[in-house]
Amino acid sequence: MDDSMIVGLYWKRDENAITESDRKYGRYCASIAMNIVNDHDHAEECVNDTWLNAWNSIPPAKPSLLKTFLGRITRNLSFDLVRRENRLKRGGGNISEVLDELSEIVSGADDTERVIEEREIIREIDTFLMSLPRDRRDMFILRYWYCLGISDIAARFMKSENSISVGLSRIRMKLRSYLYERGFEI
Amino acid sequence: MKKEKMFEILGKIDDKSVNEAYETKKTNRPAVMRWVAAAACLVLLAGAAFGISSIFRKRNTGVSEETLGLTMYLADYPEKTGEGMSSEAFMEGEGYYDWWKQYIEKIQKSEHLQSDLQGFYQKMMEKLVASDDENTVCSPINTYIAFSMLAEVTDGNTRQQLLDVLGVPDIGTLRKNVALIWNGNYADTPVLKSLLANSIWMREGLKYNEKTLKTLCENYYASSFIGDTGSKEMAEALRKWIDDNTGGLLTEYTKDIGMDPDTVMEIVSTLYFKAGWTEPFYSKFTDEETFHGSKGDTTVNMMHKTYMTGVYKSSKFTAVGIPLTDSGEMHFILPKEDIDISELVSDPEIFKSLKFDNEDERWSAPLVNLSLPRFRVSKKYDLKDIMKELRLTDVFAPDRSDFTPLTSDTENLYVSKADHAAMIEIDEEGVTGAAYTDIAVAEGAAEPDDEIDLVFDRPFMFIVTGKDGSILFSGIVRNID
Repeated sequence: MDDSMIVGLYWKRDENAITESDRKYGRYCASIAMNIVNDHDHAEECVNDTWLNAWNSIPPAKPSLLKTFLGRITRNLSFDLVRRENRLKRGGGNISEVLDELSEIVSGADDTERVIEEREIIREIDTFLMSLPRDRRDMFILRYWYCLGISDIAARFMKSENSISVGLSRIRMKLRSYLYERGFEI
Repeated sequence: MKKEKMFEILGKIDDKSVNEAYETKKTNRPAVMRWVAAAACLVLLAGAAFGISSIFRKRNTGVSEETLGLTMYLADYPEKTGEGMSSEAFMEGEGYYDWWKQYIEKIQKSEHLQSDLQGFYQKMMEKLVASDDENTVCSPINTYIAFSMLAEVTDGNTRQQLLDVLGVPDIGTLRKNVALIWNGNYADTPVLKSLLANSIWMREGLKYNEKTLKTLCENYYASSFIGDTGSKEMAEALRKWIDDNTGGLLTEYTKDIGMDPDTVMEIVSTLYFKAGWTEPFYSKFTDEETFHGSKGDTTVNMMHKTYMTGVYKSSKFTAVGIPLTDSGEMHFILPKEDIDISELVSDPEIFKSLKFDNEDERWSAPLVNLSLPRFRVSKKYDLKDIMKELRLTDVFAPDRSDFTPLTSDTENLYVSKADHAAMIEIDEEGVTGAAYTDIAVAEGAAEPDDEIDLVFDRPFMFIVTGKDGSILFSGIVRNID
């Protein structure tokens, strides 16, 4: 079924919206959840919660890219679950590695009050990513959005794991400098 | 900021990028081929009244068969592929792979010729690109095809001199080579325009050798037109033909184009090229920066991007290539501070920098932070003196030249005009270029894994290669206004 029709079902409060979402994007969302929680039962729980969350947010939301809209919900729910279950310390999925790598970009300081800047930071990160060659941009997103393992990324790009690790490290350093030069002391 | 917060922020980046990243899959394009479109010729013997024929190719003017006179042969060019489609739709459609297979097969047939052509390319670049202290641009492939056509209409020592300059043993080899090069570089798709066209314009009232005109049509894709060479109408038709086949990019030179009443025939070869970078520059990163030209500093629009690529470093220069979608590359060559850029043109090492060689330690594959100015360069040359320097003397000597393969109706023919003009322009999206060579024959009295910054903020050389390695354009940028 076409995405706009599925969104239409949500808007009409037709429960087939969930069936169709699961049929079309269940596997996609499950793979995101697995990358983060590294547990089939927990991943399934996150995917099921994704449909409930989507049901509650559409309407008013009218996503143009339903796939990533749902994937983002799964990502957030999975990350919440990992934190809630305190699985980070126990090395759940790829998430602990991903977070360790991201710690190279940030200071680690608690600055939860700086909410206003968040939108600007996202915009700058988008701009930064657009300036990267396509394969590097994809590599970065697969790692830090989808939490894909280094070996999976290497297989996808037909490169060595070392080459992917080095490439990601350079992008992280560049992003850090990029944000710093624009006044974001993160 | 804590790392968990950064993870959450990254979750909110642009949906489109996120989706594209998930969809990305590395695929190898198939290198197998199904068939090659053969060139065909239409023989048109229409028009009782002599005048000018203005039949233009469909690709430029739509179907316009406003026959005012006589067209001897009209070359049949390959059909457009993916007409009316957007670049994205074309590349995602099934037709793309059919086209690609045919294209690759043609390239495989012409790329092995490139080492033989290198001598000619280098001679022309030495004569044209390094000729003065101005910006220069020429199209070596365009002059090669024009000289080849001139060889086809000559004989004896006149032809031999041309064959020597072109570096081929005989006319049969030349015919075969030109057809292969022409096909290996011709592409007309929504993504790539590499359009070559040839024509011969002849004076009415003379008897021409039909076999030669047919050969020009079949092997050189040259259409033949007959008319009153002294008339304004024929000059206008010639100008329009060149403008149509160069995308109107050289009108600064063609606007005054004329045809002398003494002209017996005029050979014209054109090239129009438009290709996008495989990874466009992001316009948001284009800044106004200083270019240190030979005539002083100017402010230019400097484009920036970072990508991993092969970099060639010699004792005299550093070279980097930027790939063009479905085509070759545009190579940028930055001389060392103490090296005169004109010297580089005659350095055979330049050709080594055009093709990555894993065995050669001068090549590395670092992450390059490239800064490249937007520029447009155009130039017109009188080729006569250059041809003489290349020892093409007989074509200029009415008492020695031999144009009998074209016509025996008149004697004392000689080359009275040999012009070459070219332009090139680059921006964030890609490269656009055009070139023509116009040779007139008249009748007369006897006569890494590292990271480097590469900043092109001072004079540099460029070379645009086709997918088969042909040198489509080359030049030097010394100043940018």
